[in-house]
Amino acid sequence: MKILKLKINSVGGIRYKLELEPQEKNFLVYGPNGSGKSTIVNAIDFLLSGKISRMGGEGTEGIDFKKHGPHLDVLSKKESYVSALVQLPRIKDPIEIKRTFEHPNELIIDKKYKHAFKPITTLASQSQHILTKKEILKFVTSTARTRGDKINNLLKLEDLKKQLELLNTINNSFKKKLQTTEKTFNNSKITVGTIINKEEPSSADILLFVNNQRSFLGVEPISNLNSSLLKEGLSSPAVTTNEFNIKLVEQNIKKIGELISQDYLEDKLTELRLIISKIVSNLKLKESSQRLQLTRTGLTLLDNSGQCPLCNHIWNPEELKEQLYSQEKFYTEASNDLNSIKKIAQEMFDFVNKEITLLKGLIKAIEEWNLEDEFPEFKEWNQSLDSLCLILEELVKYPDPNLNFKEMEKLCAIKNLKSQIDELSLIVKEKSLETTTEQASWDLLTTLESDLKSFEKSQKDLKLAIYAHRRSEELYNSFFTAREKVLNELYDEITDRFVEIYKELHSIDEGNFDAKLSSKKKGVNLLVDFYGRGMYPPHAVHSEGHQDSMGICLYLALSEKITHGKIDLIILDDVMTTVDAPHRREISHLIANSFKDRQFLITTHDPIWAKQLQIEGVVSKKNMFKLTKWTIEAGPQLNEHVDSFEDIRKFIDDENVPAAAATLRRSSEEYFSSVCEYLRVETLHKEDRGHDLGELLNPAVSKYKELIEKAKESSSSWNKNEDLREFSKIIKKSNKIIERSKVEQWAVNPNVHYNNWANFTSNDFKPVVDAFEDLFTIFECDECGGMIHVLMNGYHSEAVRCNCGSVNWNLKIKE
Amino acid sequence: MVENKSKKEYVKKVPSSILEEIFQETFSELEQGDTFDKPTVSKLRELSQSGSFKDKNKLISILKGDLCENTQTQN
Repeated sequence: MKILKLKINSVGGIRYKLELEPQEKNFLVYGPNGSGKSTIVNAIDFLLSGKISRMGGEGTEGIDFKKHGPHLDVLSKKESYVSALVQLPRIKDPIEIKRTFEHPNELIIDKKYKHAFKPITTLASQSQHILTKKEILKFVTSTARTRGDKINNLLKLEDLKKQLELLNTINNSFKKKLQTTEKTFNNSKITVGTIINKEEPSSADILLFVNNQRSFLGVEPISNLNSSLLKEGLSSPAVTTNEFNIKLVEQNIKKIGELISQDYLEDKLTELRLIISKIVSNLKLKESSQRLQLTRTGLTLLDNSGQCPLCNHIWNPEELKEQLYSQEKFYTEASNDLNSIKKIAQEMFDFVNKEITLLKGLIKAIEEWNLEDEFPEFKEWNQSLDSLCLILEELVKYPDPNLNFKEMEKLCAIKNLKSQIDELSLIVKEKSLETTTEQASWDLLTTLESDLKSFEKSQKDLKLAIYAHRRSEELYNSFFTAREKVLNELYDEITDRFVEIYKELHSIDEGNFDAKLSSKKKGVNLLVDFYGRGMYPPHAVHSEGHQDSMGICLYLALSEKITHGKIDLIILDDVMTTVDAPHRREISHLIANSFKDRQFLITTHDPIWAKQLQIEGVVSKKNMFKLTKWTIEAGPQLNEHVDSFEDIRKFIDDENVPAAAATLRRSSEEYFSSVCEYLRVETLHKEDRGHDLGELLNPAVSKYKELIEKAKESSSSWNKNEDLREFSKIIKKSNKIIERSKVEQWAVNPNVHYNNWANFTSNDFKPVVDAFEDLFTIFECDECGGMIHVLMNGYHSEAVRCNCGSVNWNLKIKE
Repeated sequence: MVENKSKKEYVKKVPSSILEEIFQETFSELEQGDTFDKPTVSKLRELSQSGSFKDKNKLISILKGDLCENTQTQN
């Protein structure tokens, strides 16, 4: 999309209808600060997106574009509108679009073009077509995350980020579910194992146990293990169902006695204490896994320069290598220690969990026999083990060395438990004698039936949880890998274009520039070459001016990628002032030559820069719009011509000759620097190309004279009499202008020299300004305002032309 | 790289398709692995094409749903 016509009414500082007609070409809005330039940018933003992006975001609290967007004196929001005639690619006729502040969400457009316009408004909603001065550095400096946000926003990757986060959330929820299911499964396995008296019960073990009990009850064995078949063929009248199982209680007592006699927990606690005391003595070890990762990254970046990749200090290369490897070894051991804590905690957790399962069976029996008063320690022990379980569970997840050992020892210690177990054992023995084998078998099958059912369910749930987690993990990983691949390919392409543009801009000082843009977790990493000395973040070693250039180049590379064929309009709002003088010409060349298919809107308050954009052919004379004399009641006055001498004359009117002299000298230096380049004048070569006026003026004028004489000679050789007459006229006129400027007398007459300008009176200086204004015109085309330039054929000057072709001097002499 | 590519090539890949490109890459990787069967990948593909890949419930349902169906069939 390109703009042919733009109308703004009662928006921001613009009160009455302001009309610009860039006709799809680049256009420049020039004016002092506060003249309404940014309002034009805001108006285009509003027209395309329905909002004013600069009135939102950080630092704009209390600002509402709907309220503060229209001109303050406007009575009805209907009056506040922006409209434009735009040209879309692949659509023959221009399209009229309009948006009012009354209905900011509604773009008024012919129905048949609504669909075609949709991608444009979507892109515009990301503000991808506007680059402002304050945003340039966000592309190059700041953190990877901030840069990432900026680039992601431009590339419209927000959806991608959200998608990745969602897949991660889903994966984490499946992981959590899997952990819970695993825990339930393990507990139910322990329960079943307790009944059949096996640590790791297999299906065959359980089936054998079931069939043994069935044999005691006089029924046939079953061939398939299934909780619903355990009592198949059995009828209850022969035996009664007990709430608990005496055989099981006997087994539990035996097992629990064995467990507490092992001193297992105490031994494990001693192991833990040893490892933890080592870690606590060096607090850095607590972060060992992160430090290990850092050291390993450092090792991958290690070269022979001796510069430490982690602290940037210069060391003896061998010592540095040795130091990093010894650190790696140290942190590897520490990291292993942390893993050992996890392992021991898990082993203790499993042990305690087993104890709890057995204990619960005993507590149930004690309650059934109303023996709670005789055996109070069992319940207390159960509570202690539950608390210990919680501590161990946390320790498995986060191996924190700040463990409360006293508390853990207290929870492990069991007073009088052994004698209590012995006493309970005697009671159970007595009760066991009262129970028949059939009764005991029936009770065992009854208990097993219920617990096996839970085990079967937990087994099925675990299978489902494992599969679901595997899938969610693979989906997340595949998406993450695909994202890395696609984004890095995209970043590589953008990097190449960025490097190409930057090199075009900085061919003199950084012709071998290189860069690397890559995806970095949630951000984007940018490293740039610094004069062949390695890759660094842009703000680490490059000057601010170079960083600004990088910001513009990266934006242009991104913008080209994103908006092509949709919004072919690129708005550079006050961006050019950040570019230093020696690189302004290059950036003008870049815009004029490498982005021919784009329409640029450039705003600036610098008249010299505005003039330069014209002479370099970025904007034509008729597309330069000057805003002046802004008042709140009437808004700015629009002058469809930019006069760079206006400021100089204003200084003279104010009797401020030194300011007028300085401005004339500065603008003349910029101007004649361009003339010398365009006319292929061999000037002094300076790295920063900061030639003073004396070094530029005479060579430029001499070259001009030489070229026009050569053009005249060529016309004569080709017998083009009309051209000959025309050249004679131009020579006569230009000689007069050159003479009036006294340029050629400077060497011999110091009184007219520019070093003395500041001492002139206003009346003396005014003719100098007039003479220079005229002098500028001999190097410009009357039609397009662009600067004339020499066309080369190999080493030979072939012609002198302007951007529009109106000036076309043949330099070839007929042989 | 860019020197060998035309500008047309550079700008042809419009960013609105980046997410779709990543989806395509993801699904073809899933198809090559043995964790997902083809019908499940097709379901995921359909979900992305209908723009519902942000629907958490639908995604969860696909990730565990097929297994439930299979398990039921096996049972």
